[in-house]
Amino acid sequence: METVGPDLGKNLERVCAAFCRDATFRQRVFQAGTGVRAAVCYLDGMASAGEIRAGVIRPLMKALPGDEPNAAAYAAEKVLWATEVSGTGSLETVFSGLLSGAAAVFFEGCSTALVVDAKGFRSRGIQEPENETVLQGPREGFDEVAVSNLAMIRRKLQTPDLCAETITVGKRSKTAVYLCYLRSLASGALVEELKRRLANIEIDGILDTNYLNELIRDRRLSIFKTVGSTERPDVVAAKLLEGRVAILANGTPVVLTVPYLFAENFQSGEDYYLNFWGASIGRFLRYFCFFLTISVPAVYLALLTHHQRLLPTFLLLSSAGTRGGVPFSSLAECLLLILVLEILKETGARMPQNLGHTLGIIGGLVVGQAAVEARLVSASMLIVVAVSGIAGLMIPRLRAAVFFLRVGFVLLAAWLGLPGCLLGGAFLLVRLTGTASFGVSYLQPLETPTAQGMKDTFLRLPWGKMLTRPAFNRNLTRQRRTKE
Amino acid sequence: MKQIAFLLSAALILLSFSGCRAVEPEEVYLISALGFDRVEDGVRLVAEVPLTRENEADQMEVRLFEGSGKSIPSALEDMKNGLARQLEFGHCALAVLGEGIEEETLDWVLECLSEWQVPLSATVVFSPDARALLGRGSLSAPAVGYELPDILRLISKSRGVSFRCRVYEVASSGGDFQIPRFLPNGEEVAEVDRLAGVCVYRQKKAVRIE
Repeated sequence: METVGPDLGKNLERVCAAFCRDATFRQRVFQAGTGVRAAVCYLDGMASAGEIRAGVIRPLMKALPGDEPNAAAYAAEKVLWATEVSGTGSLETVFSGLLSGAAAVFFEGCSTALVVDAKGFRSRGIQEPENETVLQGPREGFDEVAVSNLAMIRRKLQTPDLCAETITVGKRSKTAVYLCYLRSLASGALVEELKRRLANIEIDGILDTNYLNELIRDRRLSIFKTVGSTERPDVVAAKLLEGRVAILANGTPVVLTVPYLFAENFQSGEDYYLNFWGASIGRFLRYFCFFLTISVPAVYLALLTHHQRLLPTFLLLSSAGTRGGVPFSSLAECLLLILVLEILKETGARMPQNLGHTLGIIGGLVVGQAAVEARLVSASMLIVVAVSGIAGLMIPRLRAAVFFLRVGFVLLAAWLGLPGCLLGGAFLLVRLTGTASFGVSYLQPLETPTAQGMKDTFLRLPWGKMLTRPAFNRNLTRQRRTKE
Repeated sequence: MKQIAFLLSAALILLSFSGCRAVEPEEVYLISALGFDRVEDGVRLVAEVPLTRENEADQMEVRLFEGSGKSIPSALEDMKNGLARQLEFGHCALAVLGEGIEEETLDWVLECLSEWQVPLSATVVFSPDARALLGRGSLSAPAVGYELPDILRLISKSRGVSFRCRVYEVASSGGDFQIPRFLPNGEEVAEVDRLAGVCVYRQKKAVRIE
């Protein structure tokens, strides 16, 4: 490990050698007021030049000579105006400081360098997250700077109980990852388990929390999310108040929360900002639409091809009529339409907003009308898949799972008819009951339903009725409020 | 692994019990009504099948298929010989029994209706000539099989009595059940005057429908 030496020139040579191919590297050698030669190094764009000029160079040049033999200690204690100054003898610490936006100050004849906080990179600022817009409620969202994200959480939970521990992840990116939780509510075992999993991560870089998500989750290949994600500080604060742990990382506005349960896929932050009647309707509709979106194409296909006597006579006649001339089997037609629907959704999510009209025309007229008129697909199957697609939009958090379940159910229905759908349902239940998120059963509170647990599951009862926190951390204080 | 093995075996069991294979709806003739007539050398089976035109689901045409044989199953086989599609009896709404069927072969007919899985809710009527009744066409509904049960339902509501005789009622009646009698337009019968509309008999009493 290289150390800082007393020779200023050699120290600078080493630093310059490390950053010789970095065009943003800056250094300035000057005579400090104490009579000692000094040099300041920083990376332009990461550190603020104005901050360094005002907080480091100017005070050092104006400093009066002192009797302290260690120039670095003297400067740190009595000269520099910066809020965060630390001395180090390790060049590696100096490098990591420079890379995180600090300025490094070397002194002639001193084997200690100062790492001075002078971060000056720009952030996007507080904006409403596009994926989690609400009609009513807070509109602020996280940005890419984890520290300011933590501050946003702290503004909502002004208690010293709120912990934010940091872990560095990524061999090359050295990304700062923060574990945020309320000490009195979060399970200690959960926090320790999370730290263990994060410490075991071996990866070059973490550019988004989804990297962490995929590396720490329980069933890595499961189609269901077992780690929650949000860009809203109010949602994170609410989860922390339930005893969950949040994971923040530098460079991304997406914050992870664990444990994440199946029921959370159907909850929205807005549920708690609206009247509970309206919120309950929305909550119930989301469950209904989940059932609808995965089952409607499969059940229709099963009825159409295996159990025709169960369909109303005129619907069957109509379906037979609209299918006349369609060159594909009902199964191929259904899968084709599901694929087209996914393509349209993916295109809509990726393309620039000003091309939205084009997509509407292509999706509505070409796929909808022209495909039916050209007898590529039947109108009835188009309607069924469209209903399924629209229902799926109600639960965006289950988007990937819904696609695979929909296709799986359709294949089973084409193979076995309605018994195939039942088989798929049984398989789904078996998988869900066997899934856990950080030791908590994924189907809680549905697996062991309690009156209190169900009050925030299918419906959202008024706050006056919700007396306890979720049941997953039974060993801790569960009482949310006392009964009036 | 145990779960997967269990689910796979469960799937295979279900597959073996399901006993059906996928059939596209346009590969099936949907029977709306069945007619049974007694002919000299056996039984004549008539099936009324509504067909939708391609991509014109609201425009239907009706076709009659018929077959003859010494028994009802052989008549069905005879009918099937000329057809390119499967027959689906699950949507049959009407069974018309010709005069000759009335006494002698009613049990056979009911047995066949049961075997073919004709819905128990299907209406059973008598007519002197089942083929003539099914072939008379309809103005208000796409097929006779859909019109006659509606008419019977209408009468039942207006008269306060039930003229709608279902398969299970006929089968469980012990032989003395009065099945509504339908006559094609303009046909004369001894018990009533000349009929302009559709006539329903119940216990030898005719009901005229305007």
